[in-house]
Amino acid sequence: MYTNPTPSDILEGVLVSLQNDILPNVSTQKAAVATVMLQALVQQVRQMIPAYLQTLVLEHADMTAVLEDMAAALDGIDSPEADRVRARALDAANGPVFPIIPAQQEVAAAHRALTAAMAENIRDLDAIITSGNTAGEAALTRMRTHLGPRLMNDFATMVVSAGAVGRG
Amino acid sequence: MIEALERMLREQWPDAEAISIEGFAPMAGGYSRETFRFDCTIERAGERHSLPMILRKDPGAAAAILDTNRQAEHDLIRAVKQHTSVPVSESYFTVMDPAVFGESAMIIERARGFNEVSRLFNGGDHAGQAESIATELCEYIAELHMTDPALLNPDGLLDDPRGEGIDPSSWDSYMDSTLAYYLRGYDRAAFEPSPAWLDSMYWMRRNKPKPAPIRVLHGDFNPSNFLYDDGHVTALIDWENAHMGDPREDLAWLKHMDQLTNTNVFGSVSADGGFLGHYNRITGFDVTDGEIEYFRQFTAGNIGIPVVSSLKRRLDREHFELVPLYIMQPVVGSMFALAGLLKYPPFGDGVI
Repeated sequence: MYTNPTPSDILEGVLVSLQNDILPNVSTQKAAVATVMLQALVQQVRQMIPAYLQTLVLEHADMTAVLEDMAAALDGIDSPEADRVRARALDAANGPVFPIIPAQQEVAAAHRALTAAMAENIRDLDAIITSGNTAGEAALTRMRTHLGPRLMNDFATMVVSAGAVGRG
Repeated sequence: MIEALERMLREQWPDAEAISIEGFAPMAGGYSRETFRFDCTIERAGERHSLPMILRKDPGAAAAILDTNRQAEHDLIRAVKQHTSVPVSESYFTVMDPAVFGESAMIIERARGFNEVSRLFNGGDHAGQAESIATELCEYIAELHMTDPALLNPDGLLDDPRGEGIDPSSWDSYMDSTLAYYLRGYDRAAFEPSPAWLDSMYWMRRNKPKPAPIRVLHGDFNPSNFLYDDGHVTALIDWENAHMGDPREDLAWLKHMDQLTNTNVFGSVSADGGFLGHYNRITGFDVTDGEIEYFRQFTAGNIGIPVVSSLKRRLDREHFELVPLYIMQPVVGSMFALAGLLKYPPFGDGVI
């Protein structure tokens, strides 16, 4: 997966193009209002993406604790309502526990560093292979075994369709 | 801009009694230039006639996808028209003074014909014309490659059009200097580390194919850069990336772009066993499928370095144009294609 541009960078490009390429050429007030609404929605998605999964996990863990605390607060109360609150707390406690998701920027920086290390290895392997050492080819093949599926996944995840828009 | 255009045309054609511009509008299409279509009506000696034209203008430097020269393109188009039967648009003028249109520009004929390759391939309503058009394309590119470079490049403007130290004086020096440029270019262009692209560059340097004659190349011979009508090619367009080089580059780029744009020019020729057989019979160059695969990687560097540099400038916020960001799509597609060309698993066993 690419770390640059981020999904947020791409959405920013959509916002800029809506402003510079589309809005000046919109000919009705309704379409202009729709364009501004689209800009707001794109910006909303842009703000949500980096925090979405991380926030869901944090809130899930917090809600589990809250439900348990609520049940604890009703300790000693004997009623069908209190029983239902305690049952929900038990269900939450027995539910899934998700690992804490690190911040997107943190993962992207670490990912990028390893990709850069592999790229630099290519330069060194070229010197090794050129000197006639076949171990260099074996090391290269190991890296290619990683890159093939990765590039396939990039294509499947990112490319919308074959073709070049605006070019026939 | 229309006033500047009319003023410029009056200066170029002082004998015209009246000149007017009609239907001036931006065109979609080429990614690297800003293009505008218009009709120029001229009155001369009491006669009035209309010329379909295109203003082809450079974008600003930061947003430029290919940093190319309008004068070199103009000169080449005229030379191709004079010395070959390859159909090209008339190139009327260049306007190199940025004071006129903001950047340098050229005025060319708006050639007749369709540019809708999606109608030619994949069952489109022009599919019946695909074979004759693909065959003509093959014959025209062969003719270009067989034309004496001294006729098409008399002043050497196409030797090293990017000023990157390319030396086309021999095949070996051309390949070595170009691969060195690609490696320098990678360091400037990589907006993200790309082990696969570097792997390709170093692999090409270790595995050069047999030599071929150095000729003038179209440089962007792809399924979007021709017009057609009634089963014939009416114009090869967009000569801005023309340069001296190995003729296999043009063939490989066509095949590569066929794959990326879901067209099938390369597979639509039946004469002499197919595109490559037909080309080889005309030129005698004996190009092999394996060499085409090599040069698909090679041309990915030629177009890729400037295009990816433009994307990097966009990501570095030197400009905010949309097209370089959209180019992320074919960049990812090209990397996927590269995985196949380098036989990465699961396409192969990783040994090439």
